[in-house]
Amino acid sequence: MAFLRRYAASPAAVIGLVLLAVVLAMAASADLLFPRNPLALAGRPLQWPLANPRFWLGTDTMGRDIAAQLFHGARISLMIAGLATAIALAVGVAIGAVAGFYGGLADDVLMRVTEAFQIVPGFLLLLVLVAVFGSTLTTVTIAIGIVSWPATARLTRAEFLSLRQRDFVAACRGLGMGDVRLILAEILPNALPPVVVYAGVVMAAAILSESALAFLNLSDPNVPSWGNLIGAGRSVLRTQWYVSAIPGLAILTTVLAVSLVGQGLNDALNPRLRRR
Amino acid sequence: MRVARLALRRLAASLPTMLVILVGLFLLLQLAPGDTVDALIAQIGGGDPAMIAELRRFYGLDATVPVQLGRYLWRLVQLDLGHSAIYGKPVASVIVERLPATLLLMASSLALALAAGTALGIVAAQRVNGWPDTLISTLGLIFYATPSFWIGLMGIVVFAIHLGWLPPGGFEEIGSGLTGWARAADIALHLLMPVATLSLVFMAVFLRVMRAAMLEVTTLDFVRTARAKGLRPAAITIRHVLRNALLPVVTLAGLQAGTMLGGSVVVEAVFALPGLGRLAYESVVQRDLNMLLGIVFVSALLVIAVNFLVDLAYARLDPRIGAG
Amino acid sequence: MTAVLALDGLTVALPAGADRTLALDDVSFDLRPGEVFCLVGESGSGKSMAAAAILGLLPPGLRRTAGRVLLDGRDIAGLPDAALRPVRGARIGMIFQEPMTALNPLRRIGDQIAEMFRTHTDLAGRDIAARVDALLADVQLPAGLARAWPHELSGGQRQRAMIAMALALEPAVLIADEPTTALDVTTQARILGLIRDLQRRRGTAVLFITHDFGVVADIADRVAVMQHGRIVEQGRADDVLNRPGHPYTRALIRAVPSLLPPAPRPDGAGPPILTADGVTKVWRGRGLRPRVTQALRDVTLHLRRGGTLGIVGESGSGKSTLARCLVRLVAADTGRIHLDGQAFGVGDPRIQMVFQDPFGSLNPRRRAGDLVMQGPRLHGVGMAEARARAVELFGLVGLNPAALDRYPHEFSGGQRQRIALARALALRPGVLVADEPVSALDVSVQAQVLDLLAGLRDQLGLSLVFITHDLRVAARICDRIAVMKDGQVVEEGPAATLFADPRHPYTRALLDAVPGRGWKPPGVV
Repeated sequence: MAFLRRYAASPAAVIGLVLLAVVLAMAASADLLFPRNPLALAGRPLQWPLANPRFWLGTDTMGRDIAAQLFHGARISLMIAGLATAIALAVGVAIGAVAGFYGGLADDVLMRVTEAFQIVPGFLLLLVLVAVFGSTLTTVTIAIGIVSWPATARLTRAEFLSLRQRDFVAACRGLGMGDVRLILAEILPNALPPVVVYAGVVMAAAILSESALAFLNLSDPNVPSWGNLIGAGRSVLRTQWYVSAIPGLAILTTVLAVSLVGQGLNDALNPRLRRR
Repeated sequence: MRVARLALRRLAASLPTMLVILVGLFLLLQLAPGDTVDALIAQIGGGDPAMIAELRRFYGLDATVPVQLGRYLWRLVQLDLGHSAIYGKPVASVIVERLPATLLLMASSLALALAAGTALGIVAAQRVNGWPDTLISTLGLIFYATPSFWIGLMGIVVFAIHLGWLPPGGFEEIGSGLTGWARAADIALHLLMPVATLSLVFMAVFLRVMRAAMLEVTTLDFVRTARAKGLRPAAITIRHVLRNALLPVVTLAGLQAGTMLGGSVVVEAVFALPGLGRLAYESVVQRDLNMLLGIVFVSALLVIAVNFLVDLAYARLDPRIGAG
Repeated sequence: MTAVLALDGLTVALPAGADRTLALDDVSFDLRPGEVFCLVGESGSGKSMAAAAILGLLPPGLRRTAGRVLLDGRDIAGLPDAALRPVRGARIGMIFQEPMTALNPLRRIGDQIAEMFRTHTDLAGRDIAARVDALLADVQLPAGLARAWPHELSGGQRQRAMIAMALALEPAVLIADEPTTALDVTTQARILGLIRDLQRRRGTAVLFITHDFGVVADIADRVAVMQHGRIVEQGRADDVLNRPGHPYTRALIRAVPSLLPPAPRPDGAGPPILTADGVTKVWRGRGLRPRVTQALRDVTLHLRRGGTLGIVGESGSGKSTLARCLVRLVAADTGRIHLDGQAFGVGDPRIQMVFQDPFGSLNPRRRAGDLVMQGPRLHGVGMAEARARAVELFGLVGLNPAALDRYPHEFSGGQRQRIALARALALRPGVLVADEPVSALDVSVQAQVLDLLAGLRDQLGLSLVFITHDLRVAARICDRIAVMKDGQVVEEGPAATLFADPRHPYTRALLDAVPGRGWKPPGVV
């Protein structure tokens, strides 16, 4: 409970939580409010927001309802980002834990691999993966996860390296505890909090990456993604700029919300630094 | 001397990493559903089996995978990146043509992001929790959260379309025949928005790290010693806090170089710049995998080079590194 | 004689939510020219706070609510920062506890000392350089060290540099906040000697803050004892040390272990229970040209059944490495370590370890009871029986069994060491290896835990290996003592003999360096 109180003490963190709740609500209510296929033709193309009471956010170049795409897009974006983050965390924590705990050769090899992934620019690797494996929803999600794991691996490794030196680990060894139990039951619960907080950063980056891919028409074209919408609005940027502007605001809000919640979690978990 | 030795040691350590990258890329290439010959055939609209077999032999695609890997690595060592089926030229020459635009974009963006980010971070830390801090931190957060292509598009809408102050894209006025300073000014005008767009996100990151580092360093013991010595606050900040706070920012600059290179893909696409990033995008669309891999190779080299420079800078700042 | 520095009713309030309202409560004392005044207290007594308040360097959130600080008769307590800056460093110099972190790692030593002159005087660069060299000579550091970086110096050297910096402008007052606590005992003796010497030559008044009564006995002219932010007793050192008036002072002095070893206990019969023969350990770094450290060189020690072997040494002597080798947490390179004549591996329940750091040795995410039950559960003991054993052990170490369900952060340092003891005893070992178990504790808590350890040893018939750097603590509890230096055992023998008639020159140096060696705390047999 003290944790919740500490979290609530920061107005930015609370705002972030509220915004996140709004976006989640959008995703959850998409089917309810817009039951028809959002990518189906709905009306005359390029109507301005609030011009037609049926389309309060207007329509795009193909006459599709922007509001419907926005709400359904929330679901897509959150789903892709969430799954990709989960993949990145799972792989990253596993690799980081092994490298940090065992050190030596395992550490060297795993760190070379991690470094390899970090030297190749993430977005370029994403392009390569999309070029090789195609642009379906599944491949894009997995690809983003693959590109995002190095940072969590480094973080986990750093935590394990420092925790491994602590006396309570030595004490457990002295009691006769084996390696696997040490890693999973003793060290991991202490190492996870900063990693989980970092998940906010990973998720924010995942949303931005996916929307960038979609903007370049390299993501799945059959889903109502926010990035797809922005890309579709490029051709009418001079006059109907709202087609690109509105989904951009949606991305901005979501990433902001995720970042603020992540920062709020970090501050709540480290009360010593919270005075800043 | 210590600095040079240290940097060379780090450089040598990145060789195995480079090997991992190259082998990984090659294996990835093997998994692609089609290869260069398929793309070529598709382009020319079909061909008979004999010609396809001949083409395969010409490109060396009929050998076994380990042999192909060996040949591939050997060629790379000689900096032969293969041949582009789409452009009909060696990959290396196409990349070299496109390199200057990207280098200019990246160097300017990194410099701007570092300069502005650290300056703003210092200001925010000096006035912690006051209104300058809140304003700077909030703006930083917003810029971090906004997709760069959206900023670029909105920038075009405002500055190029509605206000007409800046050109909406391109590297320079084609066919205008400008040379010397006039040409440089023209390029600068064209690059203004792309550089601003690309640097905004990274400026936000550097800002946050610099601010946190300044606040963290201020709590350290030697700052207390400096206060007990009777130094003025400005002297404490400049002579004791600043240098120590720069260390994590310098490290970060190296890590962010790669991300910035990736970000240039999108910015170059939005502003139609003839750079490496846009080349990568086109390669994906045209399924020119040779070109794509060549770009990744060159990018990796670029990132390693930037990290090398960063290591040099860090070793200059911190006398503890590489000592004994 | 008029005081050069006087505190008059100084009161400092803590922010809301702290465990008491006042950090300092009506603190008054005066510091006369040319004397050494010691401020003694345990952690949380407010002694460091008093020093910070004098210079106006209180941490954010604390404010002075009453009282004056008189420097040469002028009240500097309420002055704004700009007015205090000429005082700091120039009129009042200060040195801190941790020499490792008190210097800016990115600037050279000479540069940081020269900063004093650049800030407070108008001297030219060449004059400043000459003064810096003179200062370094004064604190017995070679002049070339001005070009060195802090990380290239040892702890003792860094503290000397700090002293040089603090005395650069010949201040009338020097405040020393536990300057030797983080140093080895031999280094501490040299630094104390240096401070005394400089003080005598320059006539500086020294306000020396410490928790160690031995140090007080060595250097103090006058003493003030603090508890919970208040001064409970002050006066001439001789009076307070040998005829303490206040009950708290008496309790503190009683808790200081004397250097008289206890009466020898009967020798354990039969072969030694734990033997280490020819143990060597070398730490090899990684990389192309790794750094090689010889931690242990051919160490041979025997522990008699039921006896207590003390291993005494300074930092770098190898004593901690030896402790870990004995419980097989670290694999020795050569040599044999046998328990009851047999080889054994890590995790053997017959030999268990207690660690130094009460904060780091308990997993913060596990309840106290779980920590004690872990050992037995790993070795197949059922849940109910393990819990019963935990309750019994808690009672044995003097903790309330209701505390089984609390988390480590809810306990004090001394209580956490008791939990660590309970955990070590849960597997019913015959041998206990204690690695500096009381070094991180306040002196009064130290005495309690030492008594507990001695009591448990007698009650359970334990054989004990006790590692420490503090000869007083070793004298309190050990039958035999082995002195280590640079990975070797330089002398080993019964405690009484070692203290009365040390053979090896290093042992002699170690004994001579113990602060307050000549003082016998009153009330101790």
